[in-house]
Amino acid sequence: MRIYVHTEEKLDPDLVEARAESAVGAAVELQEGEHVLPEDGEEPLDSNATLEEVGVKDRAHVFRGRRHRILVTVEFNNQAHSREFAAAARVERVFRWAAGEHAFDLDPQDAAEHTLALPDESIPPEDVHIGSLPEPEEGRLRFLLVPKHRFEG
Amino acid sequence: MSSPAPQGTDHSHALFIADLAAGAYAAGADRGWWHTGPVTWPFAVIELALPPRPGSDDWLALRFQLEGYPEAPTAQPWDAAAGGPLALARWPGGNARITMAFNPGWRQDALYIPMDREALAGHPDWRTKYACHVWDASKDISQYLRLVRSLLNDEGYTGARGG
Repeated sequence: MRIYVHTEEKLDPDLVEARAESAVGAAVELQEGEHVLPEDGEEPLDSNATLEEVGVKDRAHVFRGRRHRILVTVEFNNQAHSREFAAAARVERVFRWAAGEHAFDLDPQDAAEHTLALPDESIPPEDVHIGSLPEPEEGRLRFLLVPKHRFEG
Repeated sequence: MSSPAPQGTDHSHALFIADLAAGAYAAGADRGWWHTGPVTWPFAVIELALPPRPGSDDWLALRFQLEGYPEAPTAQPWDAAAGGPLALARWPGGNARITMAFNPGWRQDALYIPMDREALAGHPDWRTKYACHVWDASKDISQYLRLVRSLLNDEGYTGARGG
């Protein structure tokens, strides 16, 4: 089987060949102080259990790193909303929360016209794990909700 | 004695093939976002999954011209079954973001996006205006596919533009 291992400060995952009966920690080359989270999952996996035992299937995505919980703040129209996400949360999940009723409550048309940007105005891919994004301050991330670009000129 | 490193076309071709097997591209393929069609260097056909719309195709094929890869490629909508350019009626339609990117009035052999070599060549200001969407030669082909995917996986995509 193969699994995708997302790590800190590297946007693209590494593709790792592993056996279902391999220990989680060995399969992802876990280092001291790091943990492994399933994609969009909240709690670290038992690094001594096998991939099969913890439900990591072929072509699954996991996050490996020291980060666990990240306080995310999204800014839009001079307002800000914050909440914690696990480091293995995808950017797409943060966007759905930010556009949804617990944050800016955009109507579907408005939501379709916006995307998340980092403070340097780069647009992170939807499937990047937020733990892979550079943190300007430990344990915190800041996004801007911005209109999507239309290429013209 | 080791062989000399491939140069020029051989190097570009080898790098492209290696990128297809690496994490960024393979992850998109395994998520069902795209799959690789025929590669006849310097051309490669890659099909992108489309969101369902009545009467429209499930996949959009793009034929990439990859000469000089990892420098920016160019791509055109392609009829994978017929092996030729996609009929204009089957080009993606929708909001202005989509019709400006898929703009046969500009060119039918390239996309009007900052990832595309031909579009970028005519718009040097895009390197600053749309800096975050400009092709980055340190990355792989999946950056182009992700941008097209983000355009089409959108409420504003209405399906094939029709007659």
